[in-house]
Amino acid sequence: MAVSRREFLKLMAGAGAAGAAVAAGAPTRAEAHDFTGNPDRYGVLCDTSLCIGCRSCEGACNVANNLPKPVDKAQAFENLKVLDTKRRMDHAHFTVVNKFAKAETGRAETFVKQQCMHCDEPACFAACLAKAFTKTPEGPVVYASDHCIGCRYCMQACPFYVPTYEYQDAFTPRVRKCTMCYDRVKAGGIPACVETCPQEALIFGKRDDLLKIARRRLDAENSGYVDHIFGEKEVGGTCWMYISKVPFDKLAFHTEVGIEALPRLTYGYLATIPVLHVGLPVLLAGFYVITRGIGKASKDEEAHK
Amino acid sequence: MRPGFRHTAAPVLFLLLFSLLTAAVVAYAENKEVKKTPAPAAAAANDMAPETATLDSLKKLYGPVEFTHKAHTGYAGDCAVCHHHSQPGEYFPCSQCHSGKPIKTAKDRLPGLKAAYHQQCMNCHKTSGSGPTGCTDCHEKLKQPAADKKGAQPTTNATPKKTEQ
Amino acid sequence: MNGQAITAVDEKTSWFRDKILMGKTVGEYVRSLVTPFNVIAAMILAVGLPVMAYRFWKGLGASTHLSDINPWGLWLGFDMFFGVAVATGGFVMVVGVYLFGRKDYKPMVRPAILTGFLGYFFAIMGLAIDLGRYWALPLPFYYFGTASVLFLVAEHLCLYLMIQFIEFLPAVVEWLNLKKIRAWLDKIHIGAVILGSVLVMGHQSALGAMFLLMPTRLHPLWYSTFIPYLFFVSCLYGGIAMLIIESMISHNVFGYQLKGQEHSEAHMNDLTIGLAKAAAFCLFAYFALMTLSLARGLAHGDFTMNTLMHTGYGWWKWFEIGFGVVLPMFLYAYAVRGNNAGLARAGSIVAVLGVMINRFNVVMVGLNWNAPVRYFPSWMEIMGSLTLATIGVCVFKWIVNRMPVLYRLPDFPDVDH
Repeated sequence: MAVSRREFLKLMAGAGAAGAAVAAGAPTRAEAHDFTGNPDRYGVLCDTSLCIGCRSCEGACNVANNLPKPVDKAQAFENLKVLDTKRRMDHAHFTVVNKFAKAETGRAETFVKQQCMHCDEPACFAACLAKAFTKTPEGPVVYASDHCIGCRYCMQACPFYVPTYEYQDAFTPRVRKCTMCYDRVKAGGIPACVETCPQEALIFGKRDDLLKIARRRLDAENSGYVDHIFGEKEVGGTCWMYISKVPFDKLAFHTEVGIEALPRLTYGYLATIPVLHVGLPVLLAGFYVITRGIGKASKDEEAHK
Repeated sequence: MRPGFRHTAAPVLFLLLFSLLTAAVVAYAENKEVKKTPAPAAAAANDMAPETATLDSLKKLYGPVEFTHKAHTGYAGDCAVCHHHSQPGEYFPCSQCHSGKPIKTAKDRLPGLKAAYHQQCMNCHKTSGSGPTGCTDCHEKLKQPAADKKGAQPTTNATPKKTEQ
Repeated sequence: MNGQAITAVDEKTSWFRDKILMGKTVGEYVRSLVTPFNVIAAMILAVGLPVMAYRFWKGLGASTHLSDINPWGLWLGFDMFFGVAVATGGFVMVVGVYLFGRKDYKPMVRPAILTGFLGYFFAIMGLAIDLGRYWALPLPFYYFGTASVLFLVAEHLCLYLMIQFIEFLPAVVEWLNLKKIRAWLDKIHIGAVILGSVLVMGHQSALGAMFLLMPTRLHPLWYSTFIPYLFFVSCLYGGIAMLIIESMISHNVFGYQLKGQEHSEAHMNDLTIGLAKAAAFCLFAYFALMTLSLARGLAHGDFTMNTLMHTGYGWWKWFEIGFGVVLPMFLYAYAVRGNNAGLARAGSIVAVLGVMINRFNVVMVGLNWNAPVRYFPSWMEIMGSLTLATIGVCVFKWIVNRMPVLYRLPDFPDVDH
């Protein structure tokens, strides 16, 4: 093989440099850890045993977020007949309340409010390739449409099926979801749904305080609560938590989600990428150097004949 | 009269009058929610309970509630059922203990006034299976929701730095 | 054929007539367009192009069955995931010939690169029509969401498309007779090949790794920590199988270009058998990985034997493996043993179908399997995918008819790097 040592080293260095250059742009584990979890972050505790299904929270959310107003009696938030069917959020409704009858729960009739869980380590954040989602220090997870390309990976990644999409918009569709009234919270206020709830089924406060309050209710004698705070540990912890006197799986909660934060499931894979980008060019360049003599050698032999 | 009496009596009288007035004002403010007054003795609850009570301290979204207090003494049987956590004979209005503010920190033990009303009413209506449970069953919806404390700023879906519409 | 049918006409039109009309007059050219394939393609496009316009005018809600619960559909499942998986023929051929020294496959390199380039290009077109804000596509390269596996996919796809363009550029440049650029392209060729290989490993596995974020939404029979490697290995044999199919079709359709070249049928059959060997090897690796992944899932309790044996999803998984992996393995094995190129081609068709079934299973069948409402593509989505594929084949035909892909120009003999 007619490869000089100098040539070989030059080729290796070139390949390594190219690989390192690409690796520099590659994701690293550290960046996925951008948010560290502000201990003073806020949250909301929802006590489903107090909810009476009045839908005032839906109405307040509609006003606070400038969502399309109900056009007729059927759509009005006073219409409690809609509770007879299970609904989910959509682009014009950031939150919905669903009714679970006695027959479904096996205990009392229960109402559950559904909206973004504002996870501490959100899957939507880890999914977004344009950093459209931010886990704010105050707790809420917010979305910025000016980053969005509309790939809908966030919608696919959310274990709670939360984000909704403006499919009816042809040019500038946005992902829509509860913001925990981030603007109000940042200004020292509380989310509109919490403020409106007549039963104080929703409590807004520091997440640590909410856990204490919840624990107190669960531990009270003969309280009747299920001994679990949904959201305390689910998917690494969420800022919106629930306590209930009915088992959570009877209330259509996503009890199948584990306690591991979803972004961490990709860290192992992402960590291999820089290694790939540096190691592989060197390996392949080596292959090239070894095999490029093939064909040439036989041609030389033919020339000599 | 002894000399200097006018000098001490007048300020004392004035102070006495002033404190009586203050007490009256405070007493009136506390009992604003209940038009008719108060405190029946335990045994004669039924005759001495007020006929109705107007609960209108939270005026933002809904009109006041004309609460059929007398009828409820019949439903409850004992005053202490609703006027809970109090001594017999001392039946305070709800706002005495339940301030306007909702629970916010782990130190807060009592729900706010709005929740106290609703939880007290609704829990019984739900468990007994009778009694109004809809919002407008008790209070009429105001045509326009009143402006809320924070000036009704709409929230936006935005990054912390920029807003977008 | 090219360049030799020029008659004595004025110089102004001769380049256009020569290069674009392949030496025919306009009338002759238009008449020559009426072939069975072109007629069918025209019918497809006559419906498909208005459908595409409708999608852009009225939005995704009006043209697809996508919903909040099922945000991904056929355009991603077929055009993007499947399209990218079988477009790796270019990568395989280039690595095999230029890095592993298999110079005997040189005749297949250019068609493979073209297949790969067009495959990736139209996969990205499929992505573009699926995006809600397609015009904002450059944004991730400004905001750098590096925590996202999808960012890796986007970055690598973008770079790899450029690499493939550079790899195909020599054919274009030879067609346009630009000797200086041709020489320069030779110099950067190996660097492009190596960088391209790194990128392919990156994005093919990243496309699989995207699903790592969805343990509860993807059915446990398809969710596995091995997904990135399963996707990468399946793209290897998918690409090779696609190459075998493409060479089978090209050598029938473009046979007129091959006269006088070293493309005897026996020679092509030998190359096909060689490719079949490589594909069989990758298939076997895939089968082993898949078995290991399923065994691991059972051991971890991700799913039970009941799921595997007694549910619809279990049976469908058996079919995916049996038809899509085991059957082509046997077909290739018999083809190699009996030196039967026809069997190898049949095996390739089955292998490509198997990759398609696997990608569909991950993106549309296994994903959101426990959702209250399931997804099925609308007729417009099916039409859209068909339209993109048709345009891709038409572009392939256009290029191969004119540029030195299946043959070499005498001015530009094959260069040994």
